[in-house]
Amino acid sequence: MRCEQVKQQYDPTCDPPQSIAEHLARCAPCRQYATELQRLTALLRSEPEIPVPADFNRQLQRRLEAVRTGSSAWWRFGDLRYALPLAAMLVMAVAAVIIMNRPEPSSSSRPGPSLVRAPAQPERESLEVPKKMEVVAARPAMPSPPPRESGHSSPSLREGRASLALGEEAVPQEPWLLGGSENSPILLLIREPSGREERLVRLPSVVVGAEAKPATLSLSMSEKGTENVF
Amino acid sequence: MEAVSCQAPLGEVVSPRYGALDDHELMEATRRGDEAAFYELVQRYRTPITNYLTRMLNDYDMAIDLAQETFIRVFTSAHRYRADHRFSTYIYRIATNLAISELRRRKRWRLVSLVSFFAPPEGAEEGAELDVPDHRPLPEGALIEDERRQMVRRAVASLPEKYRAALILRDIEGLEYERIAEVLRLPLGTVKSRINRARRLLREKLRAHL
Repeated sequence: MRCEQVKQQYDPTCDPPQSIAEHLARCAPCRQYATELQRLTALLRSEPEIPVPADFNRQLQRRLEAVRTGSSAWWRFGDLRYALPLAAMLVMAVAAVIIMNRPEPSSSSRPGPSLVRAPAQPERESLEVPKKMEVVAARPAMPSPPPRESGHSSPSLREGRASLALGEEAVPQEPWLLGGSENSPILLLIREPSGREERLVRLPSVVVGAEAKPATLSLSMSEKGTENVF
Repeated sequence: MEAVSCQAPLGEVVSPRYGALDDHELMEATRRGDEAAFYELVQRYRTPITNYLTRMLNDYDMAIDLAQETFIRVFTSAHRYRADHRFSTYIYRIATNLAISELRRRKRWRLVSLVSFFAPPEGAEEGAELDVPDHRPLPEGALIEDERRQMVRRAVASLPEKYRAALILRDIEGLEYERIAEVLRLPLGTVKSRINRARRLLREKLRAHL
């Protein structure tokens, strides 16, 4: 019999079988192991009895009464051990609801498009141009060539990542759109057909996903064009 | 059997005639609504069940709570009790289930509890701070003995629960292997294997005291 087998089968609370007894007689390490297990068992069995509280039966009687009257569940629910974790979970749930329903900051306070709302917008953003208005020029806010008078009749303007689809009544007379650097917004000049009113629309560098109400400025066309607007 | 009218505190003094009845007979009387018979059972088992639960949980107050819960379940389930096993097997099984549920609840709670910030560091023995309080002044010999006793309790409480229950039932409560197998609903070989494994683990932990 091997030592490991002896260690697996030896039971200090029972008389060892013949095979184990013979092994223990000739194997000192296993004998030492058996002695330690016997001492361990004696140590455990010498554990003093733990007394019950004097009012054990009285408490039990109260709880049994609660069970009979159907209030047992509430008795346990009212126990702080259960109430505190429940209260903590409730507070966390309320906080989560408040955070999830928190209104987003107003877009008017930011010059650029809302990156949060961007995915919800269609890839080709339709620019609302008031009726009777026309897009006459678009240019980056950076210094750029002056607007040209002769125009094209294409209803779409494309530059870089910008893509605009203009309404029929907003056919630009001067449909050019220059993408500036990443940090320079694009200015879009919209003119009423009669020429009495113009609007300057400031578009960010990336307009895909821009909100439907870009910041607009009304102005009277000046000799210096749009450079003095912002 | 005649029902005995016992006003509070029930069970503190039980009619001597119940002392002659075995556990099955007392459960039969309990099933018929005899509370005095029930409190005779309480009187017989409250100490071993409290001891068992205290060693399982290393938490005296919780052990008292669960011991009372054990008796409440015995009482409320008396109509379902069948005398095909010993009553002690039946009540130890209820207590074991409650203790294991409590240990698992603690494990779950420990994951999210803010209290865990103040818990002993990982690797510390489970429930080490939950020994039964005893504020009596101790002489030196008793102090050493008390320290050794607490060390044994902590070592037992640090065992994995599947080993712990089997070892306590065998080496502290003194149940036979067959009854432990019934309590834990395990094959006899598995019970013996778990007890052997638990002893070897404890031997490593308490080697300095052996």
